[in-house]
Amino acid sequence: MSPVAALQTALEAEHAALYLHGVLGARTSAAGAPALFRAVSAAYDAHRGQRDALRREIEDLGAEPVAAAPAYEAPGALGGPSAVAAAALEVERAVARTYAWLVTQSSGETRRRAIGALTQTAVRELSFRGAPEMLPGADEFANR
Amino acid sequence: MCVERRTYATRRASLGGVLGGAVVVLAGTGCDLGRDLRGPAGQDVAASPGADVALVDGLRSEFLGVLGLLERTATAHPGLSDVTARLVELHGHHLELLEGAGEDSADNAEEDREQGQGEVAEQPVRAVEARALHALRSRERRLQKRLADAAVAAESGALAGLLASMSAAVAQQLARWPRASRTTSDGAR
Repeated sequence: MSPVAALQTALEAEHAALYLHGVLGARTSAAGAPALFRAVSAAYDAHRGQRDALRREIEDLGAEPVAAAPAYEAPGALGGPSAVAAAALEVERAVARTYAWLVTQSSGETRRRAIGALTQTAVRELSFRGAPEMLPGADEFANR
Repeated sequence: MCVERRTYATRRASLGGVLGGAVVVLAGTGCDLGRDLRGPAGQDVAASPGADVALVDGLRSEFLGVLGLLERTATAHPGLSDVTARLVELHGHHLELLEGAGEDSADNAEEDREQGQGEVAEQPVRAVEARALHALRSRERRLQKRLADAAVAAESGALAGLLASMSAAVAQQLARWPRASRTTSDGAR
């Protein structure tokens, strides 16, 4: 897979993550669940930053960044903070898997940035009641 | 609490099992990324394990050094057993993966994850333990950086992914590092 194609895949994942955290933030009360609201807001900001960084990197390679889809499949019933946190955790885990994959598909500075994004995403999982893992993002070795 | 000493056998020949046979299945949200083990510039991952042997050897030494420090810390400071045991389990697992002993890692991983669910209770730490924790934390930070740097340098894409995940795992532990409470040297508040 070409470097641009790999980056486009990561960008698609960030588009989805940004959309989903927007949905989750809308379902979270800042007064009723302030810690969760802060975590979702921070995640939204982080993913926006990652999205913008990926777009710049793709443009620097002379390609057109893939656009976000009009909508993404949102989680089902979000009955309260626990459900929102669980959904947010799954978003972060999926993004972590994407960046772990990007690490395997890249080299040099692109790989270094993917490693940084994987690390930040793995740490962010903890803010959504995620437990530390043996190998964040690498299903084959850890999450079975 | 006594930290169990493990024997980590060196099995260079099995390194190819990690690099050549690893199937890293990763899926982004809404994407089916499939299984692609080709490294950068289209190189077959299985064709370049020899180039990364020195890298893995260096990391093995680093892991053994950290495990030694954890054992000494656990012996000198039994009150830090929760922290040291957690890290010994993590680094022992990583070391086994690097040495190709991955057959039982999948069986152990789910159990470890279930045990790790929920909030980690923070315990008050005495001043003398705080100094030991500080030393441990510095070593863990160094290990995390070494793993990340090695992931950048790895010729094998699969190995790079594995090392990056290891680095992220250490970062998670650092994010959960216990804080020293304000206690007197004998533990009284």
